[in-house]
Amino acid sequence: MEDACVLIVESNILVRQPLAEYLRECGYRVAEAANVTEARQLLREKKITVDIVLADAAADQEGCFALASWIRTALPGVEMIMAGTVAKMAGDAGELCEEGPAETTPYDHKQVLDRIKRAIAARDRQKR
Amino acid sequence: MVPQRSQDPAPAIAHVLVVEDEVVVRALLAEELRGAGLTVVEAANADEAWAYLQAGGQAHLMFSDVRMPGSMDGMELRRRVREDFPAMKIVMTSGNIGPAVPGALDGFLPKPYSFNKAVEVALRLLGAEA
Repeated sequence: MEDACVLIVESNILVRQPLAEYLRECGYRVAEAANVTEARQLLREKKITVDIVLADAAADQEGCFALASWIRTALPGVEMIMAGTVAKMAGDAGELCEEGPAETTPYDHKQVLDRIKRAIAARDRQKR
Repeated sequence: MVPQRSQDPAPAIAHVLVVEDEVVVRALLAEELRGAGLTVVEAANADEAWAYLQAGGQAHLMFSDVRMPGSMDGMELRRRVREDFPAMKIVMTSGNIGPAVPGALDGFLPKPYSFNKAVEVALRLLGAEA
């Protein structure tokens, strides 16, 4: 898929910015949100077309799950990958996100990239 | 398939730090600046911007809103940047105050501003051609 856009939801700029830069280097468009509220606003306003959301649930687990639920209902074409360190979260995330379980943090950039590729490929297969 | 990068990308050498708490404004401005070949770092507030700079993050130019939530506003960020990073160009943006912002500034953009205008200002301050 050309020109896919990844929305990173991450509260720590020192984590968000290097990951965003890495994904841009890999050819993706990347939007950034510092929290779930910002992510919802970006997605709702649709001025940027987002294909996949990568959200770290560590800072706001409840908000992140609510975001995943909302995306599943309101934006069925958008994939979501959840990240976090909470063990229980992995199973829960698997139910809400297409490609569960959760990605672990701190991020392994290459692993995140592979995950994004797989999620987008899976979505494109479903579309056919 | 991973999307391909532009065939003829502009050199992304200059780093622009965009400090803006309105996420849509921040994201769209950042996209425009990237489209002009600049490397853009997005900060959701002054605290994030300061954390980025304190961690050794690069920035040649900073676009900062004045009113933002957090422990400091844009004016305090501007003061700290002037003190610790005197070479960095600073453009303040605001919908609430006029261009008579106290202290030295390289530019002021009253809100709402056009993204084209912001790009033009950025390229001029960075010494590139618009």
